[in-house]
Amino acid sequence: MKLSIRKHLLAATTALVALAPAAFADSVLDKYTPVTSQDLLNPSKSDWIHWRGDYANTGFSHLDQINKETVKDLELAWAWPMADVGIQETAPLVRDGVMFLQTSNGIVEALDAQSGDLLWTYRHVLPELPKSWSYQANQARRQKNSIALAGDKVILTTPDAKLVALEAKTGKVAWEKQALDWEKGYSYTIGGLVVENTIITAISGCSIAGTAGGCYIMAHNLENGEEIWRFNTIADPKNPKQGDSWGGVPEENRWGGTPWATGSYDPELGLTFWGVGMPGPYAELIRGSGDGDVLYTNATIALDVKTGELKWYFTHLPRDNWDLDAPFERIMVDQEIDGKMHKMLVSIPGKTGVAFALDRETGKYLWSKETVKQNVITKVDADGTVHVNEDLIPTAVGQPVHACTSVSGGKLWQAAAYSPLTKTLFAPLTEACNDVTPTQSEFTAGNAVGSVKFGPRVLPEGIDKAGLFEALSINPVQGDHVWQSRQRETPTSSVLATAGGLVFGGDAARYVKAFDQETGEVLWKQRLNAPIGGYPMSYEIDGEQYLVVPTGYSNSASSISSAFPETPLPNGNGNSIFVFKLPKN
Amino acid sequence: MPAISFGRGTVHAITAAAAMTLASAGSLFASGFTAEQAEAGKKAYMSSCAQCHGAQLEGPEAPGLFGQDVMGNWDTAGGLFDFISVAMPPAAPGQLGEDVYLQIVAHIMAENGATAGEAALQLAAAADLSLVEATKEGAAAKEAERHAAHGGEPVEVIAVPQAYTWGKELPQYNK
Repeated sequence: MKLSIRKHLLAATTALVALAPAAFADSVLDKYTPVTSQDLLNPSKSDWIHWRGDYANTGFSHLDQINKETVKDLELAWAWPMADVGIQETAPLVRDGVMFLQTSNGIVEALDAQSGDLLWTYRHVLPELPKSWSYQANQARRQKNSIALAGDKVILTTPDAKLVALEAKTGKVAWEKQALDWEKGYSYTIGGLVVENTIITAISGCSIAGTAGGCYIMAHNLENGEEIWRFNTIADPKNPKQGDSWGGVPEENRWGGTPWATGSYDPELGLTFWGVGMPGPYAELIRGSGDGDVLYTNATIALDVKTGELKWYFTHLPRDNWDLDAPFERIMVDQEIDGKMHKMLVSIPGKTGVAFALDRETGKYLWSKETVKQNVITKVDADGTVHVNEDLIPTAVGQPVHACTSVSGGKLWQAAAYSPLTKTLFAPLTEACNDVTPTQSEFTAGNAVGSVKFGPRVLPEGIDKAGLFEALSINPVQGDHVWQSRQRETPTSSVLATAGGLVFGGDAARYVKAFDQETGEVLWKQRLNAPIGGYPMSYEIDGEQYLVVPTGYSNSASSISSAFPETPLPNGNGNSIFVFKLPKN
Repeated sequence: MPAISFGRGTVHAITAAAAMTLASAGSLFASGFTAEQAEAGKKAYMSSCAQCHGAQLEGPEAPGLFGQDVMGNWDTAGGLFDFISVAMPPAAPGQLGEDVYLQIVAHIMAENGATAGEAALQLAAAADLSLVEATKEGAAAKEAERHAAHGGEPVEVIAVPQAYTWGKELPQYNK
């Protein structure tokens, strides 16, 4: 018997719920001003209008009222529960005293950033998925980061692969656009990057069986959502090396290549930089790609922002067999040395935790540096060629290998921050390994194509502390350890560096901490209701600096909680934000 | 069992009638755990796992535990036990005790279509108990049964591409 799946599944796709309690009072929204291209290039230090604060993805706040001397006096200003559950990965934005708070499942709230009062709510209505599409259903609970602000709009990417433009003052829908087909498995888990009249986004869900052959970075028109260009990370007809690197696997049997962290943008070069995730299936034995590098998986790609044309790529982990993808934030670092400006792209791009610096004009390799224990990358040549440990490549179905780091990292989505003040990169990392065993199983709609069995995450031999806050000094020649702050519980939030000489981050033990950028000394800590999550950020209103700390459900905590059983995780979800400031006088 | 075609765009439907046929066929396959284990496992699962993995193993706060691909990825009852007995539940990892973890494995298998038998699931034998083998006959029936409970419309199976190596004989690891 056949019947129309579209009728069944499309019954409840998109609707709008916008509530506006602000209509009852003088509202901070009345003073909201459109975000211009100039604002996006040079954000006011009082606002926070990019997911990492600027186009460079630094995660650095120029505010310094909360500093090494005053941080001990921080007190709670207000707190707010998130509108829904899911992994807590929110990246709040603030503009003109309005906080835009995105939650899993496609919800956006506008709050008065001074008082914590709700101004409006937008709740995206998602299609009902068949019960068996469990991997795809989980995508809605793992919104990776931000919304974007542009003009008088808030740009939302949704788990059902739509772009939605909301009116910033009301939360009403201005337009929406179905970017890709959610029935195949496409789903947004990250927010967009707005460059002039263009929204640049990257799709997720490329490990879901129905999405074979295409994983995209795309540009859409800011005014109406019309597509301008797209770049396919796993099939590039212009580069014969790319096809060869998949060892004869046709496009319809390729998966992965998800660029699941929002890219950075260099206006001088006209380039946007994105990280690309692992290939699918995870093991080359099942993938059928032989010893090929499977381009552009686990690479940094530099695209012309106007055309989507590939300018260069650099592979951080070729021939991935362990789901150790390298899609994380790429940070632009400029340093002038002896009159010469060095334009670098610095990151801990992947789960292996190995840091890399590239010349972002050419893609030329500058240096790399190990952080956590890993046994997958054996060597990086002077020209940047990365070698992998072939002893860890299974040659038979059911053959386990013990890989460090684990599928949960090392590094994961929690973003590092770069401080121009101390020329240091700060990163939240985890010491972990796991067994990886290829399996052969039939793919089904709405589910992933990994085809490996992962063992439990365990500590590397000889290490009893899962958590590492790492500080790496950065220059064009090398990266080096400034300090390493080790602890039993794993870090679970992104970190925020500030002009106050501090770096904020939090962990599975529910502590948010302020580290001294220079020494790693913990100058302030506060225990909250749940693992610290999302992207801590800072803003200023009426001369007062605020610090926002998200908390809530953390996969990073859950996956390695057996490494610190003395600190049980909460049973509750608890997704919230806590907002701190200094006492008045 | 109806033939399943995996060309692109093919839609395969399982009806309630087919579900009944499959359910009766499923009883032929004893799966290495007892009904008592599965029943106790259900209780333990609902108490310690369902909050995130869903009462029907559907997720979505944590990964779903239902489906032949999930069974295939865990490979054996021992593979699933090895993971959960160390890592789960996150608030008390590894602290439920061997018997309870085995019971939870039995419940997950039963929910995926395996049928209880007379022999109890024991750790020593779990590594040799293939989850796909134990569940595949009952899985389609179980899926239809679950769907029937949610409105009764037939379940469509949307065909998706398979791995490039699917259907090819690959080297098997000799333990």
